[in-house]
Amino acid sequence: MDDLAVRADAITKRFDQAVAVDHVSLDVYRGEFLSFLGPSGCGKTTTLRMIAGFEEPDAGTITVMGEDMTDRPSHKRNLGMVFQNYALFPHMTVFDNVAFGLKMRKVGSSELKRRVAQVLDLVQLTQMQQRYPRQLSGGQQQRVALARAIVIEPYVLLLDEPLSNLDAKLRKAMQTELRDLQRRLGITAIYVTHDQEEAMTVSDRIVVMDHGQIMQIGTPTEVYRKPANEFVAGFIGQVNFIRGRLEPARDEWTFIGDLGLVIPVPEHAVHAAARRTGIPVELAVRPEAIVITPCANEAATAVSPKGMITRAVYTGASTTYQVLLNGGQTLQVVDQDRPGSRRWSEGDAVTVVLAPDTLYVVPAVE
Amino acid sequence: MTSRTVTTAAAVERTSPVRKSRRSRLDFGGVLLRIYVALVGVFLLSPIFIIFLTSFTASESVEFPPRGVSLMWYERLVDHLAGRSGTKPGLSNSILVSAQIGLVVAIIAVVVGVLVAYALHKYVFPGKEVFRNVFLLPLMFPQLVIGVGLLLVFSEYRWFGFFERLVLGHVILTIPFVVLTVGASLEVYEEQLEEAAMGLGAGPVQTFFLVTLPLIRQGIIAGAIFAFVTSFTQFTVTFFLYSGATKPLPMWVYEIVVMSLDPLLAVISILLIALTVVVVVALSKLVDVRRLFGGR
Repeated sequence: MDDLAVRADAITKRFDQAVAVDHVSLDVYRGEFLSFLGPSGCGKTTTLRMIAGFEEPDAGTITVMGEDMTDRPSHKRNLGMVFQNYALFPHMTVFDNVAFGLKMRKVGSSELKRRVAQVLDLVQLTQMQQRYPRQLSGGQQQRVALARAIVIEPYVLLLDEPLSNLDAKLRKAMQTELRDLQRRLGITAIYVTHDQEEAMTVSDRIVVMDHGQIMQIGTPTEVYRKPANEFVAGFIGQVNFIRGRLEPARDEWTFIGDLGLVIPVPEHAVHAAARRTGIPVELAVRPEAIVITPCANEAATAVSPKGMITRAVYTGASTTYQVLLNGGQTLQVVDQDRPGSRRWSEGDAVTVVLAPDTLYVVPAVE
Repeated sequence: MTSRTVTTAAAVERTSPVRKSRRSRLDFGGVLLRIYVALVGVFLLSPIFIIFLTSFTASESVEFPPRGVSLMWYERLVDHLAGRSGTKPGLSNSILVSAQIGLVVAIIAVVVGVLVAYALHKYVFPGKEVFRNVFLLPLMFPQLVIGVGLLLVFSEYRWFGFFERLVLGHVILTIPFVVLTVGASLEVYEEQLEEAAMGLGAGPVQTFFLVTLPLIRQGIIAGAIFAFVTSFTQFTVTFFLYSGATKPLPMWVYEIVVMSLDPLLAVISILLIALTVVVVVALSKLVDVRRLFGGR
């Protein structure tokens, strides 16, 4: 229990008749960077707000640093919240904004000045301390919001889509800055985002949510390579789904696609919930894992079906192809533009290679 | 050669008439609009203009156009203020009474109005719409009814002195203003700032004083000024609640009117108008008045 920063136990929240958060349980470890990831309305922000104390759970408990905070008001939880639109106090200077939390904790004047100066230096805004929020750019305001939350040395840092109002380049830069800062301070962070690329970039672990429920909790590698279900596989990165069913083979499985594709799949590439004969499953294969080779004259094999390029889109770093297999299945393939890599055109007859260790089978959604 | 000239001339003819009519069409509409606005302005401002001119008259009676130009009525006003013999007594006292009542009314209306507006903004509770309408009611109620009603109640139960009665009567009339102006400020202020403050450790009361109040300052000031001016110039309800000793300025003026109709009234009117103008200008600097009245 010592290394547990936050524990949410079956927390539930209803708004009118709709269930926003449905019996969500999760653990957040000290010093980790955990992201809540999911589409709009999946309950990630509501869960964060319950941890912060801005929403009261209808059921379940929330424990922070071993203390039960479920009934404790937000101003007594010692958590640092960074809002999507910064929520800086417009009538106070940057210095006063950052100092606010310390003033509430009745920190002495000289120590207060020292700590505020220290954290402003950390986010590189020392020169701006006498300015007002309206005089700062979006990125600068974001850093003030961050400084304000960090300076109070909270148990956990809570961030609600803090970078979504910034332009793409600044966003990417801030992602790494944020991550570095968090690592340097060793502070536990819970981050909410709908951008799966962002979550993959900054997180130690990701909690994927949909419709108020947790779909999967895992490291970026885990949720990408071994998604727990169709939703996770489809939400993170691009994916091809081939529908079919499984038949047991000697020490592995045989995937039989509805459109005729037959592929052997090792045991570890099948999700536990899918390891049953005959139930509808989806074979997930990432576009970058598929290799396109010239159409040789041998007959198509199980893992090398033949097909034809139906679309080719060049986007600089890579080219995205759409391949129509002879059996009727369509696949998206992404080819990195490497020296010597071949560029295909529409109408080319090709053979597509599916390497078994790039496949993953998950239960199909009805 | 000839055909080319004809073509060129025709081309020129074709273009210039079009340009001319476009120009004159614009002008016509613009001119009409300007005339209309000017007429409306004249209509609205003419009473004030007439009073303004009358205050500089040299004659003993009110007539328009005024006969002669003189500052004698302004001098007469100064005489009244100083309480010199031959003048109706009590002008300075009345101004003082009105100011005192106005100040107290503004303070009470602001305190109550802010609390009401905040409650309406933040909370949902059974009977909320009834609650809201109760506080907006005085705006719609005939002041005559309010005045008579209060008089009956105060006399029947012998409650309060006259100063308190006037304060109470004016507070009833002015709370709706404050509720509206503060409500408008609350509409545009960022709710999440309160959450930010609480997340940083400020309790609900601290948050209200450190974050909410400073940010609705404009609405509060606007409401306070409305309340003061309304109280200062209030007639109908005041009429039923005043006494000889506690005589607000509008009552003093009323008594003079009853006695005689002379240009002194014009002078006093001009001064009251000047006061109102100063207040409104100050208000417009402090507050986005358009938003207040539902504009954008």
